[in-house]
Amino acid sequence: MSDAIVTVDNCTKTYSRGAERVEVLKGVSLQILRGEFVALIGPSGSGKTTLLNLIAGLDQPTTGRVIVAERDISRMDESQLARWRTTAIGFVFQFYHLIPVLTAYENVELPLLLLNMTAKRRREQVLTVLHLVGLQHRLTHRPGQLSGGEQQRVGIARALVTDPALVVADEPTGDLDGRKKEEILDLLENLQRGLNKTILMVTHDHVAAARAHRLTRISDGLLLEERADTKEEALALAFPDAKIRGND
Amino acid sequence: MIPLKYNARNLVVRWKTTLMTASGFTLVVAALVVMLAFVEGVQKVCTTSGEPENVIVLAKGNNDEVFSQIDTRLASELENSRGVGRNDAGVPLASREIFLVVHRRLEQEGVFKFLQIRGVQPIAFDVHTQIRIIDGSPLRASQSEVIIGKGVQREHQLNVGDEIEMGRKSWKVAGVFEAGGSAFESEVWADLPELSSQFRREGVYSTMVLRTEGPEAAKELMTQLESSRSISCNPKTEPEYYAKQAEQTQMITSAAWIIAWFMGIGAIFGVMNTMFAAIGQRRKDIAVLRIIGFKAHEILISFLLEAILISIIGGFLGIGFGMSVNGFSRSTAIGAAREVAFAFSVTEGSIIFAACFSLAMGVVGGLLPALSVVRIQPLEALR
Repeated sequence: MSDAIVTVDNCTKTYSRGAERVEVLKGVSLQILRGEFVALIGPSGSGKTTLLNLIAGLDQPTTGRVIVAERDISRMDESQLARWRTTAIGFVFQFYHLIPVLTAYENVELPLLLLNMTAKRRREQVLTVLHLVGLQHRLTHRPGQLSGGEQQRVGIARALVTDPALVVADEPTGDLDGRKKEEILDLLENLQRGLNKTILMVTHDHVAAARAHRLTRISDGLLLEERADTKEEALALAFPDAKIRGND
Repeated sequence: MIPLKYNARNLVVRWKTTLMTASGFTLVVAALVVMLAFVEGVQKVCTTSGEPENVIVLAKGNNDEVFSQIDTRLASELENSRGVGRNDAGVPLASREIFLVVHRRLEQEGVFKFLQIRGVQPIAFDVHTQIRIIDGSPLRASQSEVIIGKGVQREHQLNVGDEIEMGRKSWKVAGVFEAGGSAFESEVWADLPELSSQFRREGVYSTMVLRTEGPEAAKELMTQLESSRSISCNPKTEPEYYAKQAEQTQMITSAAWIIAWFMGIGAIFGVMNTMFAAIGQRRKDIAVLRIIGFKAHEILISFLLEAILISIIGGFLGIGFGMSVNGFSRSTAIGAAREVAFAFSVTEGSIIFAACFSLAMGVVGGLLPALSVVRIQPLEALR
């Protein structure tokens, strides 16, 4: 059995805009191993969010296959994908996207309502992940009563609560600055190390990218992969104007 | 399933919009409950009017006693028909009556109201057994006295000892009677010969009411009169006659229904507008719910439930307002220039019907916006 949790096999993705056809991905192949923390970087319009969406089961490739946790998700219909996403993928968004009228506890509990689980078991699981992200004292607070960093922690707790095979994070620190950004990156890193979670993170930010084990660069719909032992060079290539600080 | 508290809290957060939309439902449901209470009230009066043992006889071709004219010869023949009961003194239980409608000006309000007057003989109190004096004294012949139903007492603000101008003279109110909530309570009863002479109706009656031994005997008598070759008249059992009068409220009911339907359509558009706005504001919530695994139909049901919640709030308030008219007494015109006092009656059936009507408006109004949820693309909505 392969140790790859994600296999993207020669995928293309083409969109139609009227008569025009735009090829966003031009035959991308990628493997992510179990427990890896991978940063997907690239300029705007390079196809990184499209690739993330294919891996997360939010979109289907035009050609090629996507296998996540040993399931070929490119053959699933929308209804199958919806339930599969609940257990297989945890989503962390740039703007948190918490439900404003629900408390931190209720936001985290939401994915569990789709699973056949007793209320007691649900409660245990929600409290565990909220404790993990350090928000056990904010259970009854609504998103509007939390800081940006705290909201993102709730978002991460919601992503982890179903114990998914893969956590996908789309610019998780994009709306945060300074210390709060570092705290979220520390949290993601600790989760990856402590729980052996596989994390795929899309980012524009060299500070966030520097925390990943491996950088995967995408440009004009094609993948350029650098290994972890050359991460500094990869960072320097990806962010030529930034002052790079490796943390390995 | 998406928890209902998600919808409930969104309604609370947008409480002004929720209240405005719900008030549309409140108006429709309240109007519906009041209308049904009106119809029920009038029908109750008409169905409790008349006793099944009594046969009311009108002149051939007449369906309302206001226009009916029976002469003395026919009255005598009817009185001696087989099946007509007799009292202890052996007098036939046949009440010759005249029925008149006059206008009376209410001094305090400055408006004219119908006053229904029935001229009766003493035997009438053996025929109409529901009549019970509740204040003052019974009717005495040739004393220029009248007794009034409690509906007249309320509507015309009359009391024992007051004087009423009728015809060319003044009549004194001797007593007040009740008649089991029937239409008689909206009448003034006077001595038949005295009234006839005042209105120059001597020798002519409006109706004859014949009392039999029981409901079956009443039907037999009715059939006998209908098939008689020598007697030409229009007999009906009293309950049938008053039920027929109630049918004339049908037009009011139809008009009220048309208004209710149009108001209902307005409320449906109101909830549609609110729900489209709500969905527009919560596109990101919908996208997140879809991404974390909720299926489109589950979100559709959630938004449909939200519309239904609004209809429940509005409907509940509407039923509450509507119920406040329960027991409220008014008078209404039925038949030809006849006015009956009735009490609005909110029944269990009306409440259930109004609640279902409100729910149906919520479902119809919520369905189209809820269906639009299915078309939202999660990824586009998050951008």
